[in-house]
Amino acid sequence: MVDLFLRFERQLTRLAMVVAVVMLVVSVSFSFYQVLTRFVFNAPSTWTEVAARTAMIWCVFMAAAATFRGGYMMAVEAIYKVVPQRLLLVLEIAIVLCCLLVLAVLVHYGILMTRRVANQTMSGMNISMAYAYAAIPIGAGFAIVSVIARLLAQLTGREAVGPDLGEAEVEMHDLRRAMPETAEDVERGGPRS
Amino acid sequence: MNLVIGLSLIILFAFGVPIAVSIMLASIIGIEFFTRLPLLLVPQQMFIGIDKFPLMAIPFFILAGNLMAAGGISQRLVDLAKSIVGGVQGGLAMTCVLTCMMFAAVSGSSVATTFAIGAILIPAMVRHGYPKPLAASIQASSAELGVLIPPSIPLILFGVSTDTSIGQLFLAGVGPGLLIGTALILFLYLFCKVRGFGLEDHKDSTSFVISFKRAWAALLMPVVVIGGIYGGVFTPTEASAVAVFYALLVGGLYYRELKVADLWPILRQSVISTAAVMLIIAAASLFSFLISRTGLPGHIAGWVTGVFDSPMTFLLAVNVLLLIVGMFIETSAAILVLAPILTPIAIQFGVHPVHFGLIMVVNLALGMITPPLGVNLFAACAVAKISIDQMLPWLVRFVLVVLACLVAITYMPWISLGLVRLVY
Repeated sequence: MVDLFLRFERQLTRLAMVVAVVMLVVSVSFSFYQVLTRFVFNAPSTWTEVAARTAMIWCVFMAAAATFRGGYMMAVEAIYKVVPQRLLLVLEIAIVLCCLLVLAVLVHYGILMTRRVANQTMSGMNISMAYAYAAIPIGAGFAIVSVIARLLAQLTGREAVGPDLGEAEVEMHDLRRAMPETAEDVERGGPRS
Repeated sequence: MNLVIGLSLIILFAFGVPIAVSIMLASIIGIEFFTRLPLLLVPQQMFIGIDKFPLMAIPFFILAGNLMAAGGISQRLVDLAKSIVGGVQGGLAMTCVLTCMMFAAVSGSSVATTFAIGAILIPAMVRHGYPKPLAASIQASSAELGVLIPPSIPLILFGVSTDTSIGQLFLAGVGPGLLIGTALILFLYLFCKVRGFGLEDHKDSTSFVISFKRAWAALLMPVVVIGGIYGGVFTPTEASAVAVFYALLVGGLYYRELKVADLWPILRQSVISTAAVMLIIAAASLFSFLISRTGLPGHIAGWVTGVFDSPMTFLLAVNVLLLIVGMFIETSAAILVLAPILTPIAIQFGVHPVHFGLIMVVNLALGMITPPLGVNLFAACAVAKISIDQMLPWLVRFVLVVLACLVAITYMPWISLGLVRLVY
């Protein structure tokens, strides 16, 4: 049962991640295109800035799921050193409840807010603001699933409880894949000359 | 209400609730129980908080820096730095500082700098007989230059949250960056002489001309970015988008080290770093909307101007406060919450906002290398595979050097403002 849920969640979070990555690429491309239109084509575009901002908002909220799931949300982690091992789970549950409460507020009021701005259009574009605001409830919805999955995985002993290295870890982890040569060097204790 | 919000914020922080969630939850408590405002404000203010074009320079510079790091510039910059300062005793330690200064000019984050440069130089220093904890301390301290030398993510945050020109802040970061870099290099030169470290450093020095030929394409990026901003060619955000494409070009086509298969992990990592920072920004703008409605910043300003009678004492108090805050709280959160409150007070005392921004960022950068919560320390420890405790005895010296620079930067405004006045 838990396995099934976790597998479902992995696909869901991956989907959100793909959307976030695409949105980042779109956002960068629009901003770059904006420079081009102004200096190369000499006809500044009016819509790129709004479009780039909207794409960035989607990127941030869709990436929230993976950020929660991997424990990359920045936190003050001093308490993990003080709390005894057996209370860690209790602490973790309390933290998850806080996250869920906030995410629930974002989903519920995000939907209300999206409906409210449905009649407004983005400046320079004939598109409803709702398409931008919808990122908040949708992204928070994905994040709820991933927060629950993280706790379940920890409760059932599939994943370790405790502090993450936060940003440090993700960079190390991914740099290893991006730059296998230097990562190996660290392991071997010397750089290639 | 302010008391309850403040207390719940501190409690949530202390219990390890993610910073973004803590700030949102404290604000939700404030709105729900102490005002008649609707909770609709939560998504609305968060949306407004990150729906800003200047802010988008942050994710773009993160992406550009990551692309550059994977595109093979690290080793090239190390070689170039080695050819400049590597020829003397302690040259490798000084190379570390100089490489970080150059890497800082293409990356806005000090953690990324620690990983990219530390992975090469910490093992190299260890092979040359530097104790591992010393090597990690040198790396962690040099990497904080990453947030001073433009492009700098904390400076963008300060600019956006206080309506200060990001272009001017970037220029103002050059002086303090050079000062701290030079101070660290001088200190390491003397320290290695006295303690007898790095006796063999001069042996593997490379030729300047050859290494410059290999590294120039990477170093052209800050020239394009900074030149473009000051030449009025593009805004900081557009410059960061240009930097992304420049990094792709250099890493993919010129150095040919960036492969298509690398792109997914780089993008994924950039997106996660982006979300972690931007969600804090979104939460903080909700928070500052709420507390400015209650008039708290005004009260604090009134109290502060009553207690401190001169800019000197005020700046001293700010430094002490920020040093303590920087030890515990992550840089971007500290800037977003404190900058809008403190900057108007600083202006009342006659401190230039750009200068004040640099004071804040240098302070908080120092917080990155002070325990218990120093991101650079975690990063350097992860690379060197040691624990923070082992680093402490060595680290103290570097913290003191940077502290001395901080005093100079605080009380000699021209270090930050000289270049700004020259250009504007």
